[in-house]
Amino acid sequence: MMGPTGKKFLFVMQRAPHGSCNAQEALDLLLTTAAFEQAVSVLLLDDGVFLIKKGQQPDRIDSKDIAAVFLALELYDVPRVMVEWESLQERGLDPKDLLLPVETIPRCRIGALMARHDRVVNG
Amino acid sequence: MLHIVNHAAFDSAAVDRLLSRIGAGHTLMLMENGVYMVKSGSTAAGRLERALADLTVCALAPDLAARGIMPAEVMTGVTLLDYEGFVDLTVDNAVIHSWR
Repeated sequence: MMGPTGKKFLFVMQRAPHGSCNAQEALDLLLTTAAFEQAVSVLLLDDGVFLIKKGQQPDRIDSKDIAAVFLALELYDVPRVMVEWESLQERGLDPKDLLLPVETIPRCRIGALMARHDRVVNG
Repeated sequence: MLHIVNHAAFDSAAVDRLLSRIGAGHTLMLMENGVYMVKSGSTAAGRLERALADLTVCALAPDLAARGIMPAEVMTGVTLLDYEGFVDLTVDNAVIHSWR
């Protein structure tokens, strides 16, 4: 929820989960931001949509369970996870292949969506 | 809103993806290797020119010069900015996104 002096933050995540620490670092920043009662939303673009693909077994490659953090987002009052529709389509994915319910946004609306926030953060 | 791109993309899908995600009336700032996209005759420049009706395209002049792209080689319709102009742009736009 947005506090009295809160700003609207949009975290944009564009990279796949395993093989780098980008997602982990972005989520740490996101949870910190949410803890300070700022309104936080997440937008997954390009390979970022793989972050919440169902059925991931990160333990098989001794990798961290990033998807689990997404499942916990509601506890931190981060209710909005948005996914670009075309990014899903291009990767053979459907909203039902994802771990949590998402709002799908068409590519042509991404700029307008960003502009409705006070801060856009790269994840 | 200001969109900053510091890498060049020449394949049509990548350029179209970028342009589709930029809202009407927004500003695109090209810097570092991103300035290669405004070289006239490039595939990216063709697409950027067609997008000029909807957005403002700026490029950082020192980055163009450093890469040997003379003002005459830059596609028409691009606003060339020095560092000061770039700073003004970041002050004038409340929302800024640096694209990966």
